[in-house]
Amino acid sequence: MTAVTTNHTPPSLTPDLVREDNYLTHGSGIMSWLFTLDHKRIGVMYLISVIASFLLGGVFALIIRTQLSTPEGVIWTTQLQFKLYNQMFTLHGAVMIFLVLIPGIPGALGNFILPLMIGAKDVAFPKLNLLSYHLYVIGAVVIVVSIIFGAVDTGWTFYAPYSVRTDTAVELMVLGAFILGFSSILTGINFIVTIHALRPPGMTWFKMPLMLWALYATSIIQILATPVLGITLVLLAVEKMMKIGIFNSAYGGDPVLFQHFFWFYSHPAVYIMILPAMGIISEVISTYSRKPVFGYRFVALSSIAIAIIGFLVWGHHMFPNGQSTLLGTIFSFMTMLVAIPSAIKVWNWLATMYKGSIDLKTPMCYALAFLFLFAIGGLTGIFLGSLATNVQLHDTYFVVAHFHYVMFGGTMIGFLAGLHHWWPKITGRMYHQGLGRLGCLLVFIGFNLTFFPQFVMGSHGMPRRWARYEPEYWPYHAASTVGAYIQLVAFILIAVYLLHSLFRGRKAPANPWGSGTLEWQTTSPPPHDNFAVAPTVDEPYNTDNLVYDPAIGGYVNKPTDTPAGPAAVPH
Amino acid sequence: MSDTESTKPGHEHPAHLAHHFDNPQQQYNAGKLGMWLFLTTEILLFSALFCWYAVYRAAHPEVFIYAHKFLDVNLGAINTIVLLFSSLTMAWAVRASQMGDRRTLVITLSLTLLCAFAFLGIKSIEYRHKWHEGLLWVSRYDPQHHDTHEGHETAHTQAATTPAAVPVVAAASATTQRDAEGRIVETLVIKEPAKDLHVGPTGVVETWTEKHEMTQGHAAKMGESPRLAGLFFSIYFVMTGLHGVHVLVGMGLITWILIRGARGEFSAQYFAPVDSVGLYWHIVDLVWIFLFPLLYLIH
Amino acid sequence: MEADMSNNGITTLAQSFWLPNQASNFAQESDGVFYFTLAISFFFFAVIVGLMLVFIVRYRRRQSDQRATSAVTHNTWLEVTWTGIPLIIVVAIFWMGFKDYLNKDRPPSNTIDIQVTAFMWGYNFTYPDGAEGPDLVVPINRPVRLLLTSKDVLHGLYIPAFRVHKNLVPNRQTMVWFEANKLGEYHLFCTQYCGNGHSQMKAKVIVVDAGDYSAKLAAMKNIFVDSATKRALGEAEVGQLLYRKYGCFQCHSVDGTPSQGPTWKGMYGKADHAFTDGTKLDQNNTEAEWDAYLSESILKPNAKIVKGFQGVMASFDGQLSGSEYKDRLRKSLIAYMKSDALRNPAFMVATTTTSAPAIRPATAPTVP
Repeated sequence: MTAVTTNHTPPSLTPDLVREDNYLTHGSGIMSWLFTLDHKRIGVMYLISVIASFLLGGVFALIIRTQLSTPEGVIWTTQLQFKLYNQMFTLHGAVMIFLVLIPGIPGALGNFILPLMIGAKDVAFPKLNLLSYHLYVIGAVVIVVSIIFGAVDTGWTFYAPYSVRTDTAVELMVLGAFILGFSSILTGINFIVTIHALRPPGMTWFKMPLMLWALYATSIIQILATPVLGITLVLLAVEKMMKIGIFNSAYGGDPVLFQHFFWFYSHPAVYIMILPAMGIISEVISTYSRKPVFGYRFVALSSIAIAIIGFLVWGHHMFPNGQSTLLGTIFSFMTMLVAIPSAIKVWNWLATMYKGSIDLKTPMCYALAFLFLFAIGGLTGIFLGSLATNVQLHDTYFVVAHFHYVMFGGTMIGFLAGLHHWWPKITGRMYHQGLGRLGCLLVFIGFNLTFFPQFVMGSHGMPRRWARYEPEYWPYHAASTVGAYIQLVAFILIAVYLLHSLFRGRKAPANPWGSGTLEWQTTSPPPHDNFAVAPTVDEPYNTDNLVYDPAIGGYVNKPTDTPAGPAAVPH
Repeated sequence: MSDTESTKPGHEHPAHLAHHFDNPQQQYNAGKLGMWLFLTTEILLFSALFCWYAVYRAAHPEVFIYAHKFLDVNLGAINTIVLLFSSLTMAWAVRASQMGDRRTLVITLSLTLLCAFAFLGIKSIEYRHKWHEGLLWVSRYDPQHHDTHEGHETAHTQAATTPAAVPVVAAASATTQRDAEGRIVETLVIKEPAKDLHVGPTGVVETWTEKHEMTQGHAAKMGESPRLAGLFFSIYFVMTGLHGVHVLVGMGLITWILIRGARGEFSAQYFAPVDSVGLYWHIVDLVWIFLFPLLYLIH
Repeated sequence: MEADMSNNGITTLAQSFWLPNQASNFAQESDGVFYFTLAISFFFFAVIVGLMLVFIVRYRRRQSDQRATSAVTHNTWLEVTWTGIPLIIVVAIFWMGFKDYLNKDRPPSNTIDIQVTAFMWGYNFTYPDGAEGPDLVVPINRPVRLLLTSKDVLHGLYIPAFRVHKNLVPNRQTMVWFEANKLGEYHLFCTQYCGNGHSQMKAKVIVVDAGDYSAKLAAMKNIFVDSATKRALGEAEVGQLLYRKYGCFQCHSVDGTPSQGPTWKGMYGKADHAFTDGTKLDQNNTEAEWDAYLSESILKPNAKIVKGFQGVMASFDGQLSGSEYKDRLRKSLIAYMKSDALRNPAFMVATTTTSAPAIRPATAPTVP
């Protein structure tokens, strides 16, 4: 491995010359934020909005779990009242998916980190980036307004004919989702062009950090799949308002056609959610094992494979819905194939840890939690993709548990890992490691207690989207609710120590974790135009030249006249 | 990141070059790639509609064969020529901007705009005709006449066809429910589903037991119009409507670069916006090239 | 509306920690696929978590500058292996699932065919001899084919103990078949979200001996004779049974509790029963007019919607009309609505039989 090194420590990285003039202080006042073109500020605004949306979605979740604590319902007990429950699970799903999981990692972390990782000054289209954020806010406001003026009760999947018969504000909510779709598309376009056009000389495709491969694959899906959701929602609204007979069989339409259109987007959408998280895990495991990711090429190409194959499996959401056996067979086979690239990544991550130097900082704890939870989520996907077992498990709590394991245990845990990993870079502050690990542990315990029992009651027949249930499912529901409240405690703890760090945290050095990617070659937080000194481009994940400096509590490039570090690295 | 940077010492680069790009070529390439990616999303947007078309045409060919005759092929053909011509003037405009020829740019963009107006004008004539004739989407399909543009006789000679694959059971009592405005709220009711099951295009097993005629008026009494003829118009209005919205947006974009072009903002060094709007306009034209034969030229 | 806390005879014995009772021909093979997948999953999960735990202990960083002890960045042979083996395994699982599914898709030719129509929020099962009911009664060890459709929106039909699951699509027909091989009663749930009553949309699957089967069907065909005591039932009594059986109780209370539909308590002969179209019924109308209104509302619910309510009721056309017997059922339901216990006392009717036993709102269904 050849390395191009600088022959002195750049002055901007020494602690006593820590710049106070950084992107946070460059320009003040609310207008300088709301109309910024700086990708870092846009990322921070996304971060705040996504976290707020997560809290909103979480409130709906707690209401759901509270209602389901007893078989006949704690909050609502009559059929008329169950409409409110139905609105709760609809809103929980819509908010979490459209406002948190889809835009979350690309918008909040990707926006901030991507240009830094390629040593660029910004993304390719900063104005589009700002528009993307504004559309996110507008879409979110429309959805919240639709909650107030007639909350939708169709489920986030809006299946016809129910969605065209119900008297709730379906049109408004799909308008909000449509606007959010545009936001997603613009982010996707921006990232693809940035990665194509703004990489520095020396950073070829196979020398990019894997986070970029992940974001690239995600962006491909965003561009190809989101328009289909857009038109599907438009058609649904038109069907509801004008009765054109596309999805409503009372007018000669086909309800199953809606499902094909809807899932053509919504299945790739789950890969929009998980791929960025996988990118983060690659970065985190590599950093805290102090080792390059094993099998770089396979990992990079597996992201692309997931993106492509992910477009060919949508029918596995519809096995018992009346589609033909032939179609079902094809989709089942393709579903099995799409599991393989994800499995490859897991093996590669483990191999990265093998004979590494593993430091159990908070981000690494989250990465390990990811491996545990995503393994369960992914393996249970196989049960659902297999035609025989799907019959038993379709539309039961097994499905609910599966997707929470991959979306929450996968994407959100990945998000938390990335948040903790890049927190010093974004805020310039260090948080308390002990509390960080404790928060991770509590989330992990609470999560498993909430969702593992749901697998078992699902395979025993508990249907999903039920506001009340048969008494024999009570113990599982009770455990699940306890787990949800443990998670509440966990997230309160996380919020507290992170907020605390903003005011009282130790000032962060440029490279607290000893990571080899380019964003750590600038100060924490970075200056307005990212790099005071142009970063040197190397193999990604090369940490040979980093030594720990206890004075600043971080890693610096070692001067070239000192011998190599403690452990001899065999070639 | 802003143009004011170009006035700082040591910052000699063209005013239109954004701060985060190294050189104009990089900016141009990035912009071009971005535009193509956006157009890909437009294609996918329309593709779902083409898919709807394909599924329903496979399931109900009789509807398409019957109802397309209500469309005026001549007007459609004129519109096609108008749009093709507008693509020519648009391409010419892009060339003019590359050459820095302001006068030609303004003329050709104005011509393109004119064509777009003409297109929408003809479309509105067609739409008004449909409205008067009651040839609307399925819940409002209420044809006042049954003569088509191919003559009165043709309509009479066309028997009400039902596709051979679909078993039809003799009508029993129908339940039709209408709302206060007379619009159909509920129609089809299945009784005694047949034992032989037919797989429809979305894979769902279907047995159609048609009980009820949804159309009204003279045509229905003549027994000519197939059930669900209005579905053709549902598809027609949604597809041409969405296309029309894109034409309108295109007109806005052309006006924008027309104003900028008239102000002399484009030159051989900087013509990317004209190029991008040109690409957009060509895609809009391309969609119509597919719509026209699929809707108007069914034989 | 009272809640039904009892299991009502449903067999809840589980087959294992993971799966319910096996009560059909499919259960064993389906469960085989499930347990195989489960074993594979446990194995790989143990490998992943095990390796993870071993690594974080063994390769723990003990000083800040400790480096990795291996610089190996890839091993093509290893990577191909760990790609290939999982691929073979998932394809095997696919194949097992596919074969079992094919079986579920191909009913034998000697099935008993039962039509199932789902509606918001219940099921109507129609048997070959014309009997109808809201629960599914099948004989043991005979193949049964269900022909499924819906009257309004998408619904699901899921019998966990049989490993049978399919959606019901309006204006389409779908199919499941099975052969029950254990006597007892089992859950049947709606799994496709369909509105307010989705979580109450269920039925019982009752598996009986072949000999008892025809008797059960016969009893369903004549609800006017109590199958246990052989006593003839009065119309209002039968109406009360139908109130439960056809799911009217889900939306109409009989004790005045407000619900999705107008309460039947005091409805018949109400002083001012106004509709959304501006018309109304009151005590100046005749009994015949009230009867006609109720009859129409059962078959065409949207013809006259009571003010203050939404038009969400499913039509019972076909279930309570179309034959002399079904017309009589409808009449019985109306008789219940105008019985002494329910109607507005200020409105006198000529046709209630005052000799019928005192009607009280039931606390548990008495349907067999």
